[in-house]
Amino acid sequence: MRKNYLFLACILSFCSISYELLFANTLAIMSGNVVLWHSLTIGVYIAGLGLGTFRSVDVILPRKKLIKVELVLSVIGAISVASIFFITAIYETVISIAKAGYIADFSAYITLKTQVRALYFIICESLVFAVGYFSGFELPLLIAMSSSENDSIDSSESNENTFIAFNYFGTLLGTLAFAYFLIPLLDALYTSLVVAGINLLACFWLLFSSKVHQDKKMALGATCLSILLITSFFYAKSFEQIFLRVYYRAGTAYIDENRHDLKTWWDKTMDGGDVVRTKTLYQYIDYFNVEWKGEDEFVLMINTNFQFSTSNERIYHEAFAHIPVLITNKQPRNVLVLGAGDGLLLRELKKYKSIVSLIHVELDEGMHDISRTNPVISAINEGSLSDPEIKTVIGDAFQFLRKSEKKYDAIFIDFPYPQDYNVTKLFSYEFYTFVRRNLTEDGYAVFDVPLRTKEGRLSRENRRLIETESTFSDDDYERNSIVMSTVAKAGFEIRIPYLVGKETFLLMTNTKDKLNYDLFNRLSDLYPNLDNDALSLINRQHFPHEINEDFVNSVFHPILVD
Amino acid sequence: MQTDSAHLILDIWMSEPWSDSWVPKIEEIVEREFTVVERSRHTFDPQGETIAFILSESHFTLHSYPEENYISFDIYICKPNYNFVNLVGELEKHIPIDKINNRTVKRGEHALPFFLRWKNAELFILASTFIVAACSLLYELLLAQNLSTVLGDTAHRYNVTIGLYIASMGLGALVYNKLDLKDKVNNLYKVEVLLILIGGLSPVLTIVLDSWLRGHYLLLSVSLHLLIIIIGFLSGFELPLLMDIGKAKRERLSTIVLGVDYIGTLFAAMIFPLILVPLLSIFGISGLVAMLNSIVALFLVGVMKFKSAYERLLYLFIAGILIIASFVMWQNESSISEYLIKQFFLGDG
Repeated sequence: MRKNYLFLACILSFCSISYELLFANTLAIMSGNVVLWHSLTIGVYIAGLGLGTFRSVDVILPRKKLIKVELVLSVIGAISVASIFFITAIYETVISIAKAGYIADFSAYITLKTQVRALYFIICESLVFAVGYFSGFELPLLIAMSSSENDSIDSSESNENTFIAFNYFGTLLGTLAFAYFLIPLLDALYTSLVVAGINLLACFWLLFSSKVHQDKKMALGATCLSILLITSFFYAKSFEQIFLRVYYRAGTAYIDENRHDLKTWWDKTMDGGDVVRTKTLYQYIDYFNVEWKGEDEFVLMINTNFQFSTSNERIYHEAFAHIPVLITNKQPRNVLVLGAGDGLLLRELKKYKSIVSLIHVELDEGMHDISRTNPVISAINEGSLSDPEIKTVIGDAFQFLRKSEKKYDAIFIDFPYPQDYNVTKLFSYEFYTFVRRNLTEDGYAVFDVPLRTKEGRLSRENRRLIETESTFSDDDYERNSIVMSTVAKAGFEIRIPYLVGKETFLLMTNTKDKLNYDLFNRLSDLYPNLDNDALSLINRQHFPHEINEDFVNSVFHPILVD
Repeated sequence: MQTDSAHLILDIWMSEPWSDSWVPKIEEIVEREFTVVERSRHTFDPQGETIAFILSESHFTLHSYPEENYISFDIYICKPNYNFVNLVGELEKHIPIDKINNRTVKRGEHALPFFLRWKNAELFILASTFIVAACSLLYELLLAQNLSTVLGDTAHRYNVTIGLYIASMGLGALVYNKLDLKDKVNNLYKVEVLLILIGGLSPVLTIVLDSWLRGHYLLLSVSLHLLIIIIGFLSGFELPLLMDIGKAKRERLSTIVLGVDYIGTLFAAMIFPLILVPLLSIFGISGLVAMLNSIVALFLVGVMKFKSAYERLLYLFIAGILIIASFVMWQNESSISEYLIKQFFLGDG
């Protein structure tokens, strides 16, 4: 019997930690701020565990209580991901409608946004707290059951510690199975159902292994829940599809359509084809078509962050690839591209016949495969990823540069903006030092970086392609200073930030040759979408910042988090 | 005379129609479980019974309300840590329980004012648990952060680190069972000193190991993961040790220790990404954490028993040195990290 209980301790902690991870991962992906949501979720979960453990002291019939607790946990677990989808879809739609100016003014928008965000936080985190609270009962109750049914009174101290140990093993099993098996194989929504199923099985075992009379109400509840679980298995995919369409299209559909009756709105949200969601080892890749001002555009999102849209990607990638060449007056020969797994930057670079070698380093093999094989995306990038001339390396750019001895005369860097401490290291002075060491003496590096001009404001809010008010705050000043000080510390003397469209870039070099800032009237057929306006603007842009040792972003002291 | 006792107030509603066989069953159980010295019974008209047992352990009374399908109990046992779970489990086997209400009250506990509990070292145990739990997780988080820098970013770095940590904590808890340590406080002190040394220096160690073993990925990876396992293994001793120390004071304290351990972990998980990382460099954080941990070690010396004054001095000396060293590390974090990065991580360039 004791062996069974130990096994149960393992299984139950497996389920519990899986729920926590499901909540943390889903919330982090949905709301963008990875560090904040991961820490808050684990914090709230553990606080719940603590309270549950305290409350378990007064339980007098451990098995009866445990059955109830497991039933509740199965319910919360089963709806965990689905409820976050549901709440997030509503939240995002409300926010994007409000942002488009459907309420009085900017300050009213900020107030509403704060309130809605607080509500969102409270609802999501109270679910997490409930998971922690009920899980807190599990271990003490199991120990109580085991010691009360164990007639031979061996040392109860060692009994407790064995249970704690098995609880830990279950947690290990949960974290590993979650990362290696459940999420890659089943994805979040199905994982929540499977784990809830395992939890329910444990509940059934507790019900039927009971020596005393059976609790009919509980048995009925568990049976109903298992039927519900099995049916939801068949509807999970279509539920997810509805969520994705609402999430990505409801806001835009509402703003774009003049008539705001529910039916047109709903129809417009649901029409326009599937939102295709692919899970790679590192991220969710969503792509879909959306209608905006009468035009159909193709949008690709990574972890719900905007990646590119056919309506504006050309000007972005042309600015990225060609403006550095214009300013430095050097046709690239040995080129290194870091990131940019969509292949669009490579498409632009391939226009230079001067290129002798082109090496492309991408972390996520899944992203590379989709961009290479998907017919729509490979049409947009003109098959650049299948080009035999381009050497692709799948791996971590940081480690690649650190080990590399080769010199390049142009390095193009396109990483996601730093939302967690792992990505921040790609914006660190150590990383830029490696970049500098891999450049030839007059080589240059350019990267897509979160900077802010006084004129426009870049922010996550823009993923719905809706402009927000232009302001320049102290935060923006600090952000600019961090980027510029970090690059300066890495030994780059010449730093040229520029903004085209809504994207900012930073060109850095140590060349002694004269640079050419006068780009006006230097249009080329290489870049049909860059016009004189964009080119002439560049040397009039102003990025306020200061160079200061305190603003240096280091791997060992990451301060730049979006 | 020990006055600490446990008092259970219990309401039970039945799930089946009333049976007169239940009350005799309960009497049987009472006679089996306790030593009955006297008994008194009154039967009411038309139904209902009150039975009182005077036990050598104190008293046991019950009132039955057949028309309501309800029995109320009042059980007072003169053992400070008496566990009623077994007794009620026994009742459950013989009577069909539908709904149960219970409250256990501690009786005769001479309640000390909050701050005077310091005398009993209770507050101290709880404070130590809090700090120690937070420090262990912080060492691990620091290591995870550096591992991702040094070994590169694989999708599973975070999961492997946290998983290995928790599993080696489990291993520590299991090994603790087998060891049967006698002087718990002394052993906790030793565990803490080891943790301060290994945990506090592990960020520096990762950088140095990395520069020595740069060509040997496997060797580097194994030795760094070994660091995680050692820290986890040592941390695995902390909770059982603290729970046992607590239990020796007061039975319930061990559960409170478990709860406080959760809160300490929570605290660490929150402040690391939100406050510590933006404020200090990895090396500064490890100095600060090691210093907090060393202060706990210093206080542990205060509640320890020693064979000789010389031994006491030695323990105090070690804790003092650790506090000073970690304080120096914390205060000079920027020059330390500047030196380490230049010398080891970037190499000379």
